Amino acid sequence: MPVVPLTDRVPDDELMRQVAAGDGPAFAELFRRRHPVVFRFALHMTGSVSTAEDVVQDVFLIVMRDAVRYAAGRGAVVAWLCGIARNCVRQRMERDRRLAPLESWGVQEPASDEGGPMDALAGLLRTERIELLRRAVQSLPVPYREVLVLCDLQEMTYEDAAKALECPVGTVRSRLHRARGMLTAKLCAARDSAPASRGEDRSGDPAPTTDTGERDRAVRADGADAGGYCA
Amino acid sequence: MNCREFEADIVDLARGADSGTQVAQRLGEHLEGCPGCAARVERERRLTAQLKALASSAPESPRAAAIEQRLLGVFAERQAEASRPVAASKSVFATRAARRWLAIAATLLIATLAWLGSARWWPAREGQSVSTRAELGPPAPDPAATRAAERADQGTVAQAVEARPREQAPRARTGRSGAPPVERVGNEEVLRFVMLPTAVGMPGLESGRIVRVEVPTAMLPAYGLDVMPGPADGVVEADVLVGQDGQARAIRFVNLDSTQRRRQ
Repeated sequence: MPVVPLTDRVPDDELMRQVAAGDGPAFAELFRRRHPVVFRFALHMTGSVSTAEDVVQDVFLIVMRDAVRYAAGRGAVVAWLCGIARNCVRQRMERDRRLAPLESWGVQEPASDEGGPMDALAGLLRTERIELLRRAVQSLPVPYREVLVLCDLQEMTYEDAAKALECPVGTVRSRLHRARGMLTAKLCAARDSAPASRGEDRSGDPAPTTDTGERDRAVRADGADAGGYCA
Repeated sequence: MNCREFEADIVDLARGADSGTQVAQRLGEHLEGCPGCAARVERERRLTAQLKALASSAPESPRAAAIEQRLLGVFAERQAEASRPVAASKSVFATRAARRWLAIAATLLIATLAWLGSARWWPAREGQSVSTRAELGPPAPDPAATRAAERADQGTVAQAVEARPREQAPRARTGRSGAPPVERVGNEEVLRFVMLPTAVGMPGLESGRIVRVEVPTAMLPAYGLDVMPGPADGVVEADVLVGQDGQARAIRFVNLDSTQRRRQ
């Protein structure tokens, strides 16, 4: 019997069928293909790299056990995996709610001096803006964060997100709309909280401030402004 | 037309989601005449772009390879377990009767271990130990042990000891049977040997010896005797008839007062 290499041409549904039959290479291929989606979902939900990796492990252990229960006609494999990941994340958040995360994922985009100081500044502002957005996403209530992460960060369809979240498509759409509104409000609030310090900087004090907090607030305000989310 | 009607459609448009031809056409007509909604679309588009930038800035899992190896190991173990032949174990454990017998056997084993663990074994007293004939020659002058050994020559331990009749216990507990018979051996009062439950089904008693032990008073109810009021950690003396295979066959209590003997 010829050995057929497992590539992207093998659909996820078929891989799941093979995993359920005990095929190790199929399981390895499924992991390689889909673990980034699970990892990123958990990372955006928890903000912790190590927790996200634990979730990945939990999810694929469940896949081993429950592959036979996957029903191909009831939704995409990715949606099924994200549904499992969502439950694992919720369990971990419930368990660790009183524990402060040991480490938090932060956007680290190295500034480049190739284009001159202005480009470097633009890079820093861009990084700061994304970091601000990341924190705003993290602060959303869990049901809204889940929808935003699945639909906007993972670019999942409403239908697949609804399968993962076990709710109607209409609920997904309305939650996403609400989540984006909340996100915009948080970003605009960050802008509005900073102008005092920025105004002081621009008011004629020749000595650059050494206060890190003030400088951060100024950068945050610039970042929020540059995002152009606010009316 | 009311701008609020298009709020969700504006988000869909900014995200690039397909909201249908008719909706897109109506929304386009509205945006041409509504600068506020047009600006809103632009803001939502900028937010979408920033969210995409955030998504692309997410790092990869640093330990993905290690996790994959660990998972593959677990997967292989599970498959190996699943593929092991289970016919043998099924034949033993499949039937309810087999499971019941296993439970009974486990209970008996636990009872034996508990009894052996609770009794503090004494070295046999001089002149009282009835050892195997092969090892120590003729039995020591202990009449009860001698009788037991003599009866053991004729059959099983069930015949050798005074097995307590099943119907006797209820009568004894109601106090109608009175005190059990007591024999005097030297200066001691001894009760009859009672076969231990764990001795059921053992091979016949070919030879044996009697070992003097101390039994916690808390264990007396297990042999149909009252617990004497007093310290909970008290002990009473007993002789245990040990067969040629080292297994305890029967027990008799020594120098019990009448209060403790009442229920036997």
